[in-house]
Amino acid sequence: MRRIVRLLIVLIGAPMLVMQAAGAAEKLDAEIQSLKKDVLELNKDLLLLEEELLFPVNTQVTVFLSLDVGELFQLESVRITIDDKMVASQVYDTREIEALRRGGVQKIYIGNIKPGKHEVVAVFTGEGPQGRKYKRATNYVFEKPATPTYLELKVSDSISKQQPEFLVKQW
Amino acid sequence: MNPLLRRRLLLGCSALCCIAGAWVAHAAPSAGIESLRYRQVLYAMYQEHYTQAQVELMAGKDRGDLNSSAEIELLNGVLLYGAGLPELAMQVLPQVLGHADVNSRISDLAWMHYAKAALSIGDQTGFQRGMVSVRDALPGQLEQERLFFRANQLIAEEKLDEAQRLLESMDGAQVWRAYATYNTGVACLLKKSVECGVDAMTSVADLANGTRENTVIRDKARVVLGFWYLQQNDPARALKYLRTVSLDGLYSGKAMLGVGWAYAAQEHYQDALRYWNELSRRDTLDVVTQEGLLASGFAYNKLKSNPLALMHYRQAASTYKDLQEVLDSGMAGLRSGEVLQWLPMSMDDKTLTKELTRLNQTPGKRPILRALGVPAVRDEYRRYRDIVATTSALQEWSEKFALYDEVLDDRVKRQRDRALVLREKVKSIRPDWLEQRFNVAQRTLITSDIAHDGLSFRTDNEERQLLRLQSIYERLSRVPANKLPPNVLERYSVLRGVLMWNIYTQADKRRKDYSEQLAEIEKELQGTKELWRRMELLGNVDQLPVAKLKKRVAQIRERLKAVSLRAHAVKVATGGRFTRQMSAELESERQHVAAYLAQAQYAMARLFDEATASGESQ
Repeated sequence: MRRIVRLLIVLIGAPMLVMQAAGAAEKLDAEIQSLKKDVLELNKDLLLLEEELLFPVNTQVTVFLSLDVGELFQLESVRITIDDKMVASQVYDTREIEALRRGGVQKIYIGNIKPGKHEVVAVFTGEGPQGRKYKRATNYVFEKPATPTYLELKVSDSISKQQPEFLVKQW
Repeated sequence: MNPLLRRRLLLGCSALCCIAGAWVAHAAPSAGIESLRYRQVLYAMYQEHYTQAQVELMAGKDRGDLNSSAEIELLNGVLLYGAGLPELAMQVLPQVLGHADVNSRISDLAWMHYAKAALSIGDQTGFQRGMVSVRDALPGQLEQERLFFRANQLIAEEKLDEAQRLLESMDGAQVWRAYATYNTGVACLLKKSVECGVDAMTSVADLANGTRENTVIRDKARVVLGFWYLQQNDPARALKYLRTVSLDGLYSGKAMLGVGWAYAAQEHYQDALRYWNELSRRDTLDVVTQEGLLASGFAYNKLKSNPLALMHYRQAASTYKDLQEVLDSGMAGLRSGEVLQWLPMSMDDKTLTKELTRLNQTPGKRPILRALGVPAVRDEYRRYRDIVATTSALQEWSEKFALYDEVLDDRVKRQRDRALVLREKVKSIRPDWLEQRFNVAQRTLITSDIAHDGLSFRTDNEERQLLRLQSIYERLSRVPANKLPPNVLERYSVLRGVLMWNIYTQADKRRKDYSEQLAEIEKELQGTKELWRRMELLGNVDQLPVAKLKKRVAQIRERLKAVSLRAHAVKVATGGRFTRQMSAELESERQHVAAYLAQAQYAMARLFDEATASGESQ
């Protein structure tokens, strides 16, 4: 009799344990999802808070970098100065170049400057037409208003000149 | 969802699918900051930094830089899936259809990504719903993926002819067709439809050299065919496939083992030994190598070289015992939590591979690293790393709050200083006094306008002259007319007339000047009022934007604390689950090794018995 009871306990208990384990696993998966969602929200709120706190709108300047086509120039690195002060520099890896080539835009710098006249200089190095080493600088003088300023450094191919072009655009 | 179907789909997908690679922008914002922000999100996504891309997208929407549109919502759903939130992605993606600017391409893309998200969590209904809702051919690689999924669905429903027709219609990437054809072959063989299975496998096994993925699936098919022919007692055909498997590929060990068995089936034991001896020099943690160790002993036994057979069995047994110890130590490390301490936790695949390769040089760590190759363990490892990365990020964020406090305190201090300067500035100016002046002047102007009274704008000198004339006139009026000097009244009239003439001719100009002065007073008054308002505001710190920021910082800090606590608990739970899964894998490995050890010991005992029986001394 005792054996039968034990057998029954095993027969009923084992599937229950399996179900409990599956339930616990599902609960943990759901908690992971919920946590990740909250972390995303928190991350976004922190990003916005940090922007507002460290880069107030009246002094905020953001520099973006984009690549249009990029057949005539293989970008390797860029160095950016604002009013003769170096604010950003980067050496690109293949993944970043590919992301730029596919139409992505990199936010390369965010900082603060006083409203008024300023000059941004960007020095690009890489490989130009026929695989030659290429180094070019471009400058742009801009008026900083009391609203956020967005500058786009754009590297594009000039098909007519068969040379790369380096432009700065203020949005 | 049918686990077999899911495994097949995920197998193909893990080798070939890439969210970032498949993204095609259709209705991207074309200009302005919206375009910059949108492309900023793409920059992160193209580098497979899905969480960062998702955060940028959400922030862009909150700032108002990115307006909600079908394209943006589609990207949102895709990124959620990429960031490891498939369930949330499945909630977001159907909402794309509700947008006014949705078109059939965006809708098809939304459903395709919906199907992929459903597949990743084993939601068969969701997967079916997504798949049947895609109406037209998808752009680029996604179409290959869709056909691959469809073919595999048909295979799972045992509609093999239909699946075959679909596969034949697939053009473009050969590797997708190869994966689906391989799956057809497996389905046919499981169904005992030998002809169909062998045909499918052969077409994959005969693929020309191509990409790395191509070679992997081709080698896999060759191994399946080789072992299939071995089972069918056709070692010659088995050899044809097994000998052409790449020697440095994933399936080379299995192929070497199979080649040995094919030669053994033809009683070419020396040839078999060439492969098995080579195999036994490989990683002993590989189950194929473990089997190879036994096979060498078997071959020597067949060649009647029993001392050599005994030596190989002894070596095998000793290797198995060592393996058991290594596995035991791995399991002990898992139980003590030591493994979780040394396992690399990078979320970047490149860095992780580098670190794992380095650790693989340490013998004691290799069973653990090997177990990571098992898909279920690998998934759990990824989940755990994800949570570890999350907790580290949360820790980093919490450390930033000291800087935020510093910035805010500095801003409060600067505002207080500014209030002091302002107070000094406005001390001498009272807005009520200016207001009084303004009101009087305004009233004068209005009254003069109503009465057309030029006199209102007389100067002080003119006022004095008028009063003097008035007094003269009063004195003259008291003198009898006959006593007045001749022409005095005429002279008075001329003087008054000249004075009034001057006043009235100047009136228009003076009214204009007066209005201008009034405007200036008004401006001054407004400026003073603003100064007072700012001063009062600066005095009341709680009403300042900085105070609102402080409040926000405090709220976020609290949220961060709560999320960090939850993250810690989830990290512990996920670590536990990962450890249990890995332990189960090592345990199963240990049982495998124990079985091989028993076989080696049995073979040795048999050799001893044979020797004893024949009177030979060993």
